[in-house]
Amino acid sequence: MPRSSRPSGPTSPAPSPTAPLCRALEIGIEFGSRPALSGLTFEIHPGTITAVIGPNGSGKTTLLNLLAGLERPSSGELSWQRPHPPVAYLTQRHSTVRWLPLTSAEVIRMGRYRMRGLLRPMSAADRRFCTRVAGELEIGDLLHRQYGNLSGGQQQRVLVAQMLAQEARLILLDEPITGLDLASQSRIIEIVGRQAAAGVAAVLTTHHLDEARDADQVLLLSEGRMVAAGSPGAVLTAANLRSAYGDRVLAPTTGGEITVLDDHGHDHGPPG
Amino acid sequence: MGFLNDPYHWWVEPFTSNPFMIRALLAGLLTVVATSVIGTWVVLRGMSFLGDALAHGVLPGIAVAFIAGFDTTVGAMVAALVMVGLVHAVRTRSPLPDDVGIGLLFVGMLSFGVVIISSRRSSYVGDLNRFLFGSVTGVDSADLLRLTVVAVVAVAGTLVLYRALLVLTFDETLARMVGLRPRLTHLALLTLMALAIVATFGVVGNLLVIAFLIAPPATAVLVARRVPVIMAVAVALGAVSVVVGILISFHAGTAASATMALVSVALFLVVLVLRPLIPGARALGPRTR
Repeated sequence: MPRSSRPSGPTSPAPSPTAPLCRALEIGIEFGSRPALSGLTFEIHPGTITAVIGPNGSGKTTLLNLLAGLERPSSGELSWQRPHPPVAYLTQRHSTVRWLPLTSAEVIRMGRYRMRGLLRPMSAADRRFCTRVAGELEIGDLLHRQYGNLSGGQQQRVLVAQMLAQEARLILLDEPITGLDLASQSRIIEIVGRQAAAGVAAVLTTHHLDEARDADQVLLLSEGRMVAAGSPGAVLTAANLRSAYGDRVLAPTTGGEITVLDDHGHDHGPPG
Repeated sequence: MGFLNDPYHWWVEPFTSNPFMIRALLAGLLTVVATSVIGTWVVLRGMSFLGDALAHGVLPGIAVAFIAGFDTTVGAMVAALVMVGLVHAVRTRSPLPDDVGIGLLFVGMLSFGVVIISSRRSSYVGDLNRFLFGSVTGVDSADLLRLTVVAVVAVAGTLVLYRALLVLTFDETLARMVGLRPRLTHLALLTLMALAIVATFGVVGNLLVIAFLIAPPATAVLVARRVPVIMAVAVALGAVSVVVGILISFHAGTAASATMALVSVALFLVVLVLRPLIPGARALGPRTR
């Protein structure tokens, strides 16, 4: 399957399938005088999955915020394919306004506002697209339920469907499966894989080393710096992990898998 | 029990035989249209206290305009902008939670207004009374025209901003990512809120306008499942409050604005109590945290 092919104008050369969507060169950002990230260099290619791992406070979310354009790097250069590809961002579960009356269908449809703006009406094609992504996440039966009444896993699936409805070429997911039921976890991981197969670039943060092992590229962060970047095999070594996580790494003694003892940190709302 | 055993004379005759009652009814209904559609977002976005503060914070502007002899609506609008700017300044400069700054500025502006008005000793109580509690029975055709314009602007504004306000209320980051300008949207809502408050204080009064902004949408949230339905139900509930409030005021000789406000808040409490019995009321339960 061709991983990326898109028409281009006469002024811009067609991006080759292997041209990066985004290239970061020594980027860093400071909050006040404290550097939150410094000296990060990496590329994001279409059709690949990048896993960002590291202890809490290592700058994973800040990196996603930079890629989302919510923050600007204070040093280095973050360059993008032109025209700037559409980016969708699944943040860590926000505190939903519970008294806001919304059906799941309305939440998913918000993703189409990216194309429809303030006033242009939803077309039949928009509605079909939303129904289709809901089907992919197996939430077709939840579309008319109040979003605020769904379980954590169900809400996250609705938000993933909303992200897909944006038809972005780069999707950013901040700990998308932490704290979810197993069915929702595997569904979401499968969807991310399918998006990558269709040519979309995915960047996700995770605490699960298993998830990182299945990525095409792993960025291992510690205290805002890149400990290692590259293929999972090259990055997820005992030495690298110990350098990032310190004593919380349980190195394999008899060839088993490396385990990291890390708190799964963040509150993901009430369980189902 | 005139409203039951002599319905024509209780419900209809006050309007047919008193022109000022027709004007009061129209003014009340136009006010309700403007405040209910904007108030829906004020309630859903959790800005009720800011709305309250804004409503009272415009008093010094009204007072200065009144004493200096220019249009009190202009004075109120200027004071509303000052209030919004001060709230923003306190929010960004102090480590305190928002409601502290809003509460301080609100009481500061209110007392400043009272101080200004009371410095003119002659008619202090009468003027203050009119600003604080309005006079729905004293509106003229110029007031009605102004209220019509504001009602149209409020409905048009909330229609145009519907998607932006919905996404902003749901998730500010999403609003940024899909290009729906969250800060501009918030500012537009503040402006609409100030407009509704400033345009209606002459009718319902400074202290009571918040009842019209908050009570009908809050009641509608209890029973409706979708935002457009909340707006429609809020307008209907507000209209009921206006009609019943004016009639009670007419028959019992009570203050009109306060009676309308009281009816709207009473409606909220009645619906809250009866909600478990209402078929199709929203499935969302009470807040658990």
